[in-house]
Order: sequence, then C-alpha cells, then structure tokens
Amino acid sequence: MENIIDNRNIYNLNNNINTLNNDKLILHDENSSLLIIVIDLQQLIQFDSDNDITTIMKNIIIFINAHIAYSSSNKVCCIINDDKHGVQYLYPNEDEDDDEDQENQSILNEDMYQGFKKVDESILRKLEKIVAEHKKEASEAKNTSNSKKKRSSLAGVISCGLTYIHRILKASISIRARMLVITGETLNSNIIQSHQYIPIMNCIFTAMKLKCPIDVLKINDINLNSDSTKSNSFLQQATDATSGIYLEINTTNGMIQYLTTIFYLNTLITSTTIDNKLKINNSVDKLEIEITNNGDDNADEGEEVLVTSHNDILLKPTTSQVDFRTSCFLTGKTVAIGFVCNVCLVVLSYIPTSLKDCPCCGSKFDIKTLKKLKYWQLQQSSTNKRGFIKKIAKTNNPNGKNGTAAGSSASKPIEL
Amino acid sequence: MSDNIKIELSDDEDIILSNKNQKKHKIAAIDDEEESDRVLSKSEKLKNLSKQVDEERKLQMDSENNVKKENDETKINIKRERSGSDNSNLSDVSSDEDEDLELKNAIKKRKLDEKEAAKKAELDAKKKKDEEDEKNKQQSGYSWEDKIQRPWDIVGTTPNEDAQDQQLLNKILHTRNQKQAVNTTPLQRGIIRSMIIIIDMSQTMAEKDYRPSRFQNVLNNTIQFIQEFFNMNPISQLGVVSLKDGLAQVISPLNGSPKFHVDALLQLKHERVEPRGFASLQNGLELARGMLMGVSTHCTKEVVLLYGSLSSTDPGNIMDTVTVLKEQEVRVAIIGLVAQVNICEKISRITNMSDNSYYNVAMNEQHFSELLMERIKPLPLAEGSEFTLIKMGFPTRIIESTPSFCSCHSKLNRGGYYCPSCNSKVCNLPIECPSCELMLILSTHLARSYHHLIPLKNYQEVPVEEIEKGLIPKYASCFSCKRDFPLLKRSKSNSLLSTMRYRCVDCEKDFCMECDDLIHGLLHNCPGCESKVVL
Repeated sequence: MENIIDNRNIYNLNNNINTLNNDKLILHDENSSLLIIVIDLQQLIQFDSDNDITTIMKNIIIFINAHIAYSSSNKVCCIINDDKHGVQYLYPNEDEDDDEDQENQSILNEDMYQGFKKVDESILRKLEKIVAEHKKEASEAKNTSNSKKKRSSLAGVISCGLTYIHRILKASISIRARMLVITGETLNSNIIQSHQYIPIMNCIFTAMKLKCPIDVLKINDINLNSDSTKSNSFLQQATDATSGIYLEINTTNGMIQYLTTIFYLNTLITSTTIDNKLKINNSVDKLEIEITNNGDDNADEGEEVLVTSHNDILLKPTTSQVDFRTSCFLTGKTVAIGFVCNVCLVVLSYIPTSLKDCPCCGSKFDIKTLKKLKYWQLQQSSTNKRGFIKKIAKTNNPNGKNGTAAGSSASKPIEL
Repeated sequence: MSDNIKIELSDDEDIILSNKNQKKHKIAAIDDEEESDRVLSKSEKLKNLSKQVDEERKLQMDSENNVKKENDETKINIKRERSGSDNSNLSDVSSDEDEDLELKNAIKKRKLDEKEAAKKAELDAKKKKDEEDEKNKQQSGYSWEDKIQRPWDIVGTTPNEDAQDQQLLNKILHTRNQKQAVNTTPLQRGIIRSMIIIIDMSQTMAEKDYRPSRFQNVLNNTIQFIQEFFNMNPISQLGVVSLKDGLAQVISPLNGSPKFHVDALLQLKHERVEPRGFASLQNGLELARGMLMGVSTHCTKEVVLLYGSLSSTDPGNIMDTVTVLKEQEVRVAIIGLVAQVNICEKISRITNMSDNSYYNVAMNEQHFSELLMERIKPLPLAEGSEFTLIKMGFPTRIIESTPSFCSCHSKLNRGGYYCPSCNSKVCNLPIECPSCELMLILSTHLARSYHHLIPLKNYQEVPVEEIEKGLIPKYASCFSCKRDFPLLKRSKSNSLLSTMRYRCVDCEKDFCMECDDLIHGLLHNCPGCESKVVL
C-alpha cells in the first residue's frame, strides 16, 4: 500500500487512462507476480503426435520466459500431475543435486539468459524423463489394451499449487499470485472427472481467500468433434468465481498467440493497480480499493475516470454462460426448483411417492412436511400457472397444512 | 508441579475422556451443587491415572532410575492435596476443561521429556523439575493470575537453552493440540442455522480488563465472528440483541446478510454507545425466543450469549423461560467474560441436552475469540430432531442489456437472478424470494457447507524415532509446498526435538505445519489423497 502511495506522488497521472505507458513505470516497481502453471499432464500426454505435449511445452516455455522477462522479481512455479508420480514440481527444483543429467545441458543454448535457462532446464529435464517413461509404458500397455478408468488428479495438483501460493504470499508482501491451469480433452479419455466436484469447489474457495485468480486453458484434441466437446463446468466455475479467464482452443498451432494475448496481458492488469486514483474493482473478493485522497485538490477530477474493472481497458474473452446448476441426485437432470435434505444437502428434483428417508444419507424425514411437499408437487404438475400455486394453497387451507413454512413452525410450539 | 503429574496421568487420553464423560453424567444426574460427589470422581480419576502411571513406569523403568520414581510419587501426593483444595473453588468446572487442554499439551511434552530423561540421568531430572515449575507459573490460565510478563527479558537470559527450545516447541504444539482436539468424526449437523447473538451491554462491560474495554473487545470480536459465520454457513440467518438497563433491545433483526449486521454494530461503535445499567438474562432470552419463533422447523435455533455480568436482574422466574426454551428446542451457548455463574451453567446445560460444553468462561482476549469462533461450526443435530426436505430454487444468472428493478432492494441494475417459480428478479444470493418466499441459492453455497459434513482427517505428527531409525530421510520437504522441513535440535544434546512433519493417515504423505494449518483450516482436501490416480 505504501508503495502505491509513493508512486502516486512520483507519477501523478493527469487522470488519463490512455497513458498505459505510465502504468508500466509503476509495474516495474515492486509489483511482482507469481505465476503458477498447472499442467494436467494426465490428459495432455494422451494427445496424438500433431498436438502432442512437446509442441504444447514449447509454447508454455516461451510464455514462462515472457513472464520472467517482464520483471526481475517475477516468479514462476510449474507443477504437473501424471499417472505414475502423482503431483510433481517441475520448477522450483525439489532436489538440486541432479548431477546425473549434466550431459543434458546441451538441450538449451549456452548463451541463453541465465534467468530463463535455470527455469527452462529444470522443467524440460524433468518433463523429458516423464514423457520417456510414459512412452515406454504406453508401448508395453498397447499389447494388453487396458482401458482401466483412472481418477483425475487435477484437484490434487491445484491444491498443491494453492499451498505453494500460500507459502510464497506469506514470505513476501507485495507479490500477487495467479494460477494458469492447462488441461485438455482427448477422444477416448479414460479419466473420470465426476468425483472432483467437492475438492475443486474447496480449491475455489481457498483461491478466493488467497485472492488468486484461476485461468483455464483447455486444449481440445483434433480428433475430437466440435459437437462432442463438453466444457469443464467445474473449472468454468473456478474461473468465474475467482474472476479468471476460461478459454478453449482446438489446435496448438499458434498457441503462443493465445497465451500472450489473453493470459499474459491478464497477468499484467490483474496483478497491478493502475493508479491509485483509479478504483480497481478486484472482483475476487468484491473489495474495492479506494485510497483516500491525501488532501489532493484534483481528487474530484480523478474520480470521474474510475475504472471499475480491467474489463474496461481490455475485453476479456467472456464465457457466455457458466453452468451453475446442480443436478438431481436421483435422475441427474439439472434442477431449477429442487428439494434439499437438511442433513446432507443432497438435491432432489422430485419426491418419489415411496420416499421416506434420504436416498443419500438415510435420515428419516418428517412425514408431515413430506406430505406437504408432495401435495405441492401434485399441484405443480396439474397447474401450469407456477406463481399462483402458493396463494391458492393458502386460501384453500388457511389452517396451515400446506401453508407457508413460517406458519407451520409458529403453530408448532403450541402442539408441544 | 501439577503439570508434571498430569502428564503421566494422561498418557492415555481415553481414560480421561471416559472420566470426563462419567463426570458429565454425574453432574447431569445429581444436582451440581454436591461438591462431595465431584471430589469422589476426581479422586477416582486420580486413582485410575496413578495406576496407569505405575504400569507405564514399569515398562519404562529399565532406563529410568529409582530416584525419579520417588520424585513422581511425591508429586502425585502433592497433586492430590492440590486437587482437594481445588474442589472448593467456584470455577472448577470451567477450569476442568482448561486442564484437559493442558493435559493434552502435556502428553507431548512428557513424551519428549522421557526421551531426554532416558539419556541424561538424575542431574537433568532435577533441572527439569525447576524448569517445569517455572513453566507452570507461566501457564496458569487466567490472565490476572499471571506474573507481569516481560518478554524482552526472556531472550537470552534463560540459563538453559534447551528449556527455551522446549518452551517454544510447547507453545507451538499447544496451539496445534487445541486444533487437534476438534473431533473429525462425521456427524449429522444442522447446516441451516438461525442464531441470535446476545451482547451484554451492562455497566460491567465498561471494565478494562479486556483491552481496550470489555465492550469494545466483544464488539470487535462479534463483527469478525459474523463475517466468518456467513463464510462458513452461507444459507443461515443471524440476529443481534443487546442487554442494557435491564432491557433487551434488538440491534439487528434476523437476517441473512453479513453486511446488515456489521453495519448495525459499526453504528454502535460510531455513536460511541456506552454500556450502562444492569443486564437481564430473562429479557434477553425471551426476546431471542420471540425472534426465533418464526423460523421454520428445518433450521436450528441457537442463541449465543456473551455475558460479562455476574448477576441478572429479571422480571420473573428465569427457570420458566429456560423450560420454554428447552421445549422449543432453542439451544443456548454462553461465553462468560469474568467468572463462572451458576445460572448460566444451568441454562446452557438444560437447553443443550445436559451437555456441559456450551458454557465457557474466557481467560483472556485470545481465549475469548477462540471460544467465540468455535460457535461457527454447525452444531450436531440433537437426537430425535426432524429431518426434512426443503424446497429451494436454483436460479440462473442473467445479464441484461437494459437495466431493470430488482425486487429485493428496488434498485436498477443490469443483471441478476430470476426466481424459477415466480420470475421476480433478485440481485444477490442467497435470499428468500421477496414475492414467493422460495429460498433461492446457488449450488456453490451448498458446496461451502460440505466440509462440515465430510471433515478431513487430522494429520498425525511423525514421531522422532522414524528419523533416528532411518526410516525416513533426515532432509526432506513438504509434499505439497516443497518447503524443507526444519530440523529442530536441542543445542546441547543435538538430538531432534520434533520432526515437524505431519502425515496424512490415508495417503501417507508428509506435510509441513503451515500446510497442515492451511489444509485443515481453509482448503479441506488433502493434496496427497486427491492426487491419487487409482483408489
């Protein structure tokens, strides 16, 4: 905060939004950012040769270098998840004494900038090992043709990333963190996603608390029909809740373009406050950073050009609709009006006539209220005038058998 | 001194717990004023524990010498005397709980101590005794019983650096153990809650033993509590009531928006409302009962009373109110600020199915906020409580090109949610639809509460032996954040104090202390277990 106020004195912008150049001056101060790149290798490694992991990694490496190049205090962390090792950090290195790979030095140009080289080498070396292992295994596995279903470990790797962010945020004050999840989808994927709802939700809440936006880049395999692709609704919700960007691409050709235009710029803008006079709506926690005008006379003029969010400067790719709906426990249909068990919070779209206890947790329901709801359901199906049902019910039976919830509880103490 | 014995006595926590339960039953069954009974149960406890001590001693006696044994026995005697005199104290019940915390803390310390003792012999034992005496002085709960604390003197002046390390570690472990004490067995909990917070604003609250004053401290903590409460229980409701001049007044009525309550409390702060007059428990409880009358049956009805007075000026018999509260299943939790008051204990016991743990007396500011934050977790459902299905609407979010009025605040805005049953627009969720009274929520709100239902298992500390035996590498890093585990060594003996690693029981990955805190406090899923590919 102090830093911002200092900048204010130095770069007194004449309330001019268009001078984005001036912002860069501020950015070069201690506004460093931490970029966590989560690569869902579990999915990406199954890609075919056109789109395979090496082309993807080439692009990611450039992106990482660009991030490091922007400011000397920027930090990078790259984590992957794969079938064999589970979660693995590609950078920072967990075991520095990797002397056995000395001969591998040649993968990178000797003259490369040391800052890039350190990061890139570590990532590439480890990745090479993993890919080699995987290829070996895949060739062996082809003979046995196993189609075993596997659990996706994406939630685990995101959790790891969040703990890392927590660690870094604790260590330094001015740093901001963000996470880029790169995942994919192949044609015959044998990876189950459905169990991930609760863990990913938990990750979202944590990211909100840490004020860390989550961006998602999903790469669809070429073989995949455009109709059959399903957007990953969990990750979509994650980006929506943390005000990140969700993007799906169908080819890795020119992937660097996407990365630099969409995700790279987002880093700059979300990770900086442009000017203290501009009110940045950091919608991660709906916290509006308002800096009181230190007796500045121009304050009134300054407030005229409030930027409510970074959307006003750059248009983010918006996802048309985020799927927030829940699905019914029994039928799997999406629910608009549902019934929720007050013990386990399971959602039902309708009440089966034979229902007596919760299908999920088994707790026995109160018969009276169940009757009431069933009655409501009956009426609902018979009438189409949705909004008036309640009123009709009320006038028909003023004694409260099917009245409002409030009425029934008020009468309850007297029964006792 | 007493600490030392408690350590030995408590090596098996189960016994203590069962003892505590026995005690609870006894207190529930017989009138609590029968002090003699408590003395009995206490001496039983001591007997049990001393037996256990003996058994344990036999096992470990090989390495330890007889001098130590004698020492211990004398200590037990002293403890007996102490406990005898303690029983006459008023605040005994509440201090029992504190004791339990201390006991758990002491377990770890004891384990460490014993290892040490095995290596160093009698000389060290004597030294330790002195140190622990010092520690006892420092750890004796209530802030007004403390010596004047001069933290700047502690640095560098303690003769034995081992003791310093030990103290530091004990402090860390102590806070950890408090967290560990949280039960992780999944329970059926009332997720949809309605809670009334009653704040004492009588003249006693102007006292300055809590900084800056009792009242201000309570107010600040309550604001914090409200925000955290709605974070964890998004589909719940809350109300605030004040006790002042013998009257109970509504500060903010039952409502589901945190901002509403925080604003009301900040208003009090702004107006510099001073605590005045006497507090009336009965008026407060009656008002809370009235506010909770309209709540539907699937909600829990809870009252949290922050009480700084030692008396109550009531218009009638308070026990009548209490019986009505019990009938209506209103559960009252009380946090005292000063000392234990019998009527408060009775109220909370009767309304909570003779469970004693809902009346606590805070020892200091820190303890008070801890006690208050405990109330964030939803209560386990009472036996025989009703399970129902609740009708709820899951609206979709819509962004409009032309602004329209919302039905909740009558404000123009460009987007919002449409109630699926009556099509009226609301701007924020969760809310009860203003026109058709349908509860409107997002699925994310339900997801917020899942971790109450499926709590994450606690991690277990990895014992030092595993490193000493070479089962795990000495230098390693945390599974999830790759921080290197610190090596805490005693400066003289160079032996490890603690591994500082915490292991998940299921995936057997080791985590550092800070990750453990984050994972159990915020994240609620284990990175190790989630990254397993095959179950």
